[in-house]
Amino acid sequence: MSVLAHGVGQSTDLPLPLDLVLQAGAATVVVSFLGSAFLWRRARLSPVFERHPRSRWWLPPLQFGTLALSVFLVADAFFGPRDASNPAAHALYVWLWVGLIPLSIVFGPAWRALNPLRTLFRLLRLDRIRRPEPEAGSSASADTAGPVRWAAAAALLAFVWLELVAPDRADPLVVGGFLVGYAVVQLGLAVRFGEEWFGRGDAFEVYSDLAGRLSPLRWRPWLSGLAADHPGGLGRAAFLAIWWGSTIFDSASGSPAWAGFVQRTGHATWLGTAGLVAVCGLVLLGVRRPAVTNSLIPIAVGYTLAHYLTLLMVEGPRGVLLLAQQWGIAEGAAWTVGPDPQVVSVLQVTLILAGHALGVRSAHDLALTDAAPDRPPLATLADEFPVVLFMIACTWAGLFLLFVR
Amino acid sequence: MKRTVALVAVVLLAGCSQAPAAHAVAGCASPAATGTVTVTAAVLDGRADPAPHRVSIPLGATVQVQVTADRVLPVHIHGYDREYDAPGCAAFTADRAGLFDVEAHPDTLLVQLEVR
Repeated sequence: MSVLAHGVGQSTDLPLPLDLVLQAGAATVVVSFLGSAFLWRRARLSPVFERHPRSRWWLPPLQFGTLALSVFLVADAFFGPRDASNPAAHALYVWLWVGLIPLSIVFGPAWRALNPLRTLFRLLRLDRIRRPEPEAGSSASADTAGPVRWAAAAALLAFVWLELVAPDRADPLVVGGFLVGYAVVQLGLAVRFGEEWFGRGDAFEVYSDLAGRLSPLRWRPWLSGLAADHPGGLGRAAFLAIWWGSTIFDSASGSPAWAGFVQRTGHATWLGTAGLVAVCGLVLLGVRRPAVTNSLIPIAVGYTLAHYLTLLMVEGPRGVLLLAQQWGIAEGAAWTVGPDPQVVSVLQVTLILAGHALGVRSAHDLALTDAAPDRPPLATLADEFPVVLFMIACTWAGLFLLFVR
Repeated sequence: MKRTVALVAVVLLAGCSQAPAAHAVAGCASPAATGTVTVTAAVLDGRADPAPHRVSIPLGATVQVQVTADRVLPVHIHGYDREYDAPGCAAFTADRAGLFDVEAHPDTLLVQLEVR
């Protein structure tokens, strides 16, 4: 019972060693300028070509499988065991939130294809419900203006609040209640705005879409997904700020200093909420320039993967085991694999550096595309100097957070 | 050769018979054996006293985590999954590297063990 009081998201990673952090910090600067100056002198990420799978026969079984698994997990959250043997928290916080990133990096916007809410929407024929006719003169794109573009960011904020701040967030009842509430709200909005709603209002679809911009299978040439629909608007900047800010908050709130502060003042939930919103707001102040939003995606992906790497390796399979044990398979087995801390820290630094390198490349490419044709490449490099400095600052912040954790 | 096998068997048996004992909460030996790292913490009025902090522990050392409290509270050592009631003490071998929370429930962080 007592283990229930914790999120599954507890990291046991050691802080990064100082020498590794310093080397990585220096490498960041080298990677930022040398490659751009000598190897990448003309825009290569256009024209953008988004590849779609040739045959789709395998898609419906996967969609129904995902829907069936989701329905089972939610029902199990309500009626299954109410202790640490329930896989609900693992399913939401590890498989979906962390697992979606590697899946999307490989296959592209995977959640758009698998989203059980979309499957349910089609299955129930919810599109037949008559929606209010759009007013004369307004087009479908009018829906993306105004408050609607903030919808995905708001949904994400609700999720990360649950993941990082809410009391009893690992309680299967809380997880199940959140999932049902989320599904009802999203389905209701999809009835109002049509099935396209999920693509811009469902936080997990937007998340998977953004991480999927890095997919080599989906986008040709590779990374051109970052050049597609550029510049991203303020809604996307807010989404990225919450995604990234929440990961930073997770680092900070695990520290003894934060714990001591909360214990002295009391009101853990209120302080956590204020801290989470403050960190996300600060990050938004930095990332709100639309010219850099897309280039920050790889940095966010690299940092998130580094931050949650051990969680994915340890708690991901443990969740599968919990699920299997509910069905009476592998009773008594335990997943106790703990990756070697040195290997983990090298992998973390590699992920952060790779994310940074890809981000700088795409920013450089976008700058080359926007530059006048007769402008020398090195002059363009000088123009993007502030952007690259900002990205270096972001990456150093990520390294620093993993160093002081 | 035969002797080696017998010796290994004895060592293995000894290992097996100790394992369950290590999982149960052992009270701490006093005075602590040399080479044992003793970590003390207290819970007063729902707060850690002294304030939550980190303690470095060499990998492989024997650790005693001694918690005093003004009322009976369950204490949980994460990663090693030891649970016991404070006031009380748990001893274990730090054979896993990492950063592990020692918490009084529901979620009062007392100490972080940095095993490396």
